[in-house]
Amino acid sequence: MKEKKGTSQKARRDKSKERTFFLFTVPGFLLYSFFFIVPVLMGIYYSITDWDGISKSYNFIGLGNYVKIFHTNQFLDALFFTLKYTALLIVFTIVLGIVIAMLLNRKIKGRGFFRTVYFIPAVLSSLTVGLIFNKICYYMIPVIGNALHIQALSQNPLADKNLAMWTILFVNLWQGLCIPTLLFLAGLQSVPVDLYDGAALDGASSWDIFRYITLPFILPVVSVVFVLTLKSGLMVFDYIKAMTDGGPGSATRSVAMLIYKHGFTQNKYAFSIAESIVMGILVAAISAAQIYFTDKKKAV
Amino acid sequence: MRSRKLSITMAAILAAGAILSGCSQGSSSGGAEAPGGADTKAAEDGGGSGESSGSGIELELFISKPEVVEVMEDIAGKFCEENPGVNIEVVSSDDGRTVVQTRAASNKLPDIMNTFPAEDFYKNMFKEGYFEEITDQEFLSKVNAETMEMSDCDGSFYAVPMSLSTYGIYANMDVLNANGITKTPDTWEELIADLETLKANGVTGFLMPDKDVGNVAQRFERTAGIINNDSYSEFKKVADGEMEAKDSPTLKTWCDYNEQLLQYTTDDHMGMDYDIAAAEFSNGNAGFMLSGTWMLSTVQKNNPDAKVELFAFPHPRGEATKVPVNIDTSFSISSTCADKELGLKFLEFMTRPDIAQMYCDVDGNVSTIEGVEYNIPEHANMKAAVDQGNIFLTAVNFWPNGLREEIRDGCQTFLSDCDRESFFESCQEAIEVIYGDNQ
Repeated sequence: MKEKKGTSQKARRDKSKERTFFLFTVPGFLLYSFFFIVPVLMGIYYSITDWDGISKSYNFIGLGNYVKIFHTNQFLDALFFTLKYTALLIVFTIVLGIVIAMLLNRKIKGRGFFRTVYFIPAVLSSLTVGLIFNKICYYMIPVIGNALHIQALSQNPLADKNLAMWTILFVNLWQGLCIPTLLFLAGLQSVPVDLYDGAALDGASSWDIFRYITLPFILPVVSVVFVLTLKSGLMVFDYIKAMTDGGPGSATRSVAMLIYKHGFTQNKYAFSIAESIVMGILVAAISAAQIYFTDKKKAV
Repeated sequence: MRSRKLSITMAAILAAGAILSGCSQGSSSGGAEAPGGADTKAAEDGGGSGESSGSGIELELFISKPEVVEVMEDIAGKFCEENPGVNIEVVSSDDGRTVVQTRAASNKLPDIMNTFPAEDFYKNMFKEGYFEEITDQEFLSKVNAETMEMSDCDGSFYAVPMSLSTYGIYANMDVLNANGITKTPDTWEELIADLETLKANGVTGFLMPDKDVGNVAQRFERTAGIINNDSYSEFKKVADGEMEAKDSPTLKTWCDYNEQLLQYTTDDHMGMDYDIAAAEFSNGNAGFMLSGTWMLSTVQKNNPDAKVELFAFPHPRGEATKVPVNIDTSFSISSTCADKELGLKFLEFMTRPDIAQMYCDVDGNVSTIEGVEYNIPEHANMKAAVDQGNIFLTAVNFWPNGLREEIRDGCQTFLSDCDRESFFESCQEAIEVIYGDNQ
């Protein structure tokens, strides 16, 4: 009898706990629904119309906008550019981020100063950085290129369709590396020093130490940086808008730029929303793959 | 295993949600609010303020022409002096269209703002009720009748046009005179001869800010209009399959004249944007540059001593040339204006000859207000063209919405590589897509 009473009290306590947990999730759920789920549903709704962003009336056209996306190569070209840009951004961010973090993790004179200096670009707005580099590319780069007899840099690199993307990537890295570097630095400081000492005594090479000690410890940070950089790469807009406006021609037109162009300069709002939904599905697929592989790695 | 799969799926959905909402936030929320929102506010306002205007009221005046912000601040100051208790805040951005769309989406259009009443985009906004109709206002009688005709929107008026912009070629007379050229050219051959002279003397002949895709688009639209005043019909034939873009006389002539001009421009023209080109031109580093009457204030700001003249762009095939004009500064009051009576009062204030004169002297465009003297010697040629009626309303007002923006990438690429085949292909696609969208 006593045992039965104890069980029911425990069940009541559990229920009350569950209710408390549920109540804690309600504000987050409501906020997320209001700011994310509702706009997505509204986006899906408008994507099957011919709404121009101004008119109070519009017609339902079914999947017409989705079909039209693939009538020309614009979307695929922009998608190819975006994926290429994102892949390069991820590789450079992770590699350079780890290298800089390892350098800043060394016991060198003025370490605090260097750490601060490397973080300064992070506090600037990306649009401002883009505009500053836009002027640097016109006024300074050709002077340097001519002085050093580098033909490719003897003119504004943003004007060259082969160099424009690399220039934007450089500026993005110049500013965007700060946070990943900081994260890697924090990850490096979590590696126990005695492991390094032990490896050194065993005669491990620098590469072995990095591969078998440092990398496994910072792998969770690499995963976080990967996701953050993936998102910023796929949504790249500010730097391109400030530096090339998608040009020369359409050489640096990302999907975000294309969506902006169709929405804001041509009033094809419903169409641009359909494009953003297609992009969203692709991002979901990439995110799912990334999460799956990270999860698998952890399980191993 | 199952829960892991579930968590992966959920995480993917949430990630997609975050991205999608990021992409569609602006436009979809606009869709939700703009249609109903504008109506509600208009109804609340009851179509005008019943209270006496002018006590402790603040109005926002938005202007998409940064070069006239200072004079607008002065004018707003004078208006406030006349109307104690009123404060007008002048806000400016050079990307007016984007600002208008985002502000309309959030139902917060500026109280008073400059619009372009001849353009389709603004006409649609007028028809949708975003702006107040001012057809019956007395002050409209002070505006030149022909200009009023151009700003007509289905028999109604929603804006008071203050000036007409004209487009042509600016000549830096200091540079020309220093190289023995005493007058601006009248024909294409004379222009090329002048450019040859400058080139022989090691001077940059023609500035082409080809990095600025917006400027490239405008140059294409204005000069395609000069080559064929009815370019709309020619492109319609392309869209309808009656003609191919590669056979379009307008597009071919556009390629021809640009190929010629590229011989006299700077090596880094593809890296030069409009601001840099305007500064270079003002400071006497080139002989000619294509632009409109609005550029004068920038030139004078860059170099107050610069001696410049604007002349008509000669037809590259030697045919008679007309000057493209567009209604430039026009003021409208939004349907969400905090005090419509006061807004109308400001519009009336802008049409007073002394105020319109004050504006015109800085703006540089041809004033459309009666009683205003156009005392800008730099634009004497343009004034003469307007007076003689040797003008046409520029193509952007007739082309289907978005054509200029769709075709500009191909134009910019052509200016970089002069590849006609790919230019015609890109024009063919752009024309078909945009005419198809606007059917």
